[in-house]
Amino acid sequence: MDVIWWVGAVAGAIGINLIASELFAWGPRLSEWLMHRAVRRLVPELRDRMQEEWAGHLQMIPPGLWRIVAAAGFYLATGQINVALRVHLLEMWLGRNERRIRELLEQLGQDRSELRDATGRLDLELSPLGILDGRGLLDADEIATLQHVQKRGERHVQQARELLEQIVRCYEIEQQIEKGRYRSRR
Amino acid sequence: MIESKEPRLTHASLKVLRAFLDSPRVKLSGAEVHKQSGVFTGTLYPLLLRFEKAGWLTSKWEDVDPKEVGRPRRRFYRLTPTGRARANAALASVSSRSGEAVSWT
Repeated sequence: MDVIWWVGAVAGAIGINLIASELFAWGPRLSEWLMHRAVRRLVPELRDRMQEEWAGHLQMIPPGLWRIVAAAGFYLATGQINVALRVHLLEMWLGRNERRIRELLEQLGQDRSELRDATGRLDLELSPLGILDGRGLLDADEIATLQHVQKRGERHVQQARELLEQIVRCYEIEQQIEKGRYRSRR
Repeated sequence: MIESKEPRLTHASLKVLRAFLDSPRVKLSGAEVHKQSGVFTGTLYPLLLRFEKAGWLTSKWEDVDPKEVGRPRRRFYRLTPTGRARANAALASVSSRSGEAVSWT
């Protein structure tokens, strides 16, 4: 048992030594390859900068496992870097276009106000027909308003469809009466 | 005015800020921050970029010719006055919460 243990320990030590020497030999190449892969994953605006910066960083680490680990870190960092830069660019864009956005929001507010007035007028005009029943539309927040409009729109479409069917039915009856073919179903 | 969002202060970002405040040198390269803070490179560079975009850090290439020195140029980061004030405040807040009597100068 002792012999097997010793043979295993020696073989393990040799194996670890081989892996370590291979890593030492391949470390620089592997770390550079990882760094280039990482740079290629970056947004174009940052590629040149990070290529040089990361090359300088790797150069400060002795060849071996830690250099590979650092290069793997660059690769893993690319996703977060891209997000950070895009968020920054978006914030810059918002900053530049803030005035225009505010104007559009104001315009949207006016449009909503006009729409509310128009809806109110429509309600008043059509309520005697019993088609519309809405009151206080667009007073809720944006999403609730949209949902309300959608529901109300669907209801109106349904009501309009039913009304149209009645009109068509009346028209058909009228035609039949004219031709003397009408017979009441009652 | 729509302002740039403040960077989120995580354990790793506080370690990075502490590395800048503790260092006797004003400017540090990414590798030096990595060495001093112990923050993994995969976390470090996104943090440096976020701090830079938030105006807490500025960065500049070192003024050497790579061909002459035989190595790539290093990019040095330094705290801005805003960044220094915010970093001090953030670390003081953490210290007071953890009951430490530490001053970050």
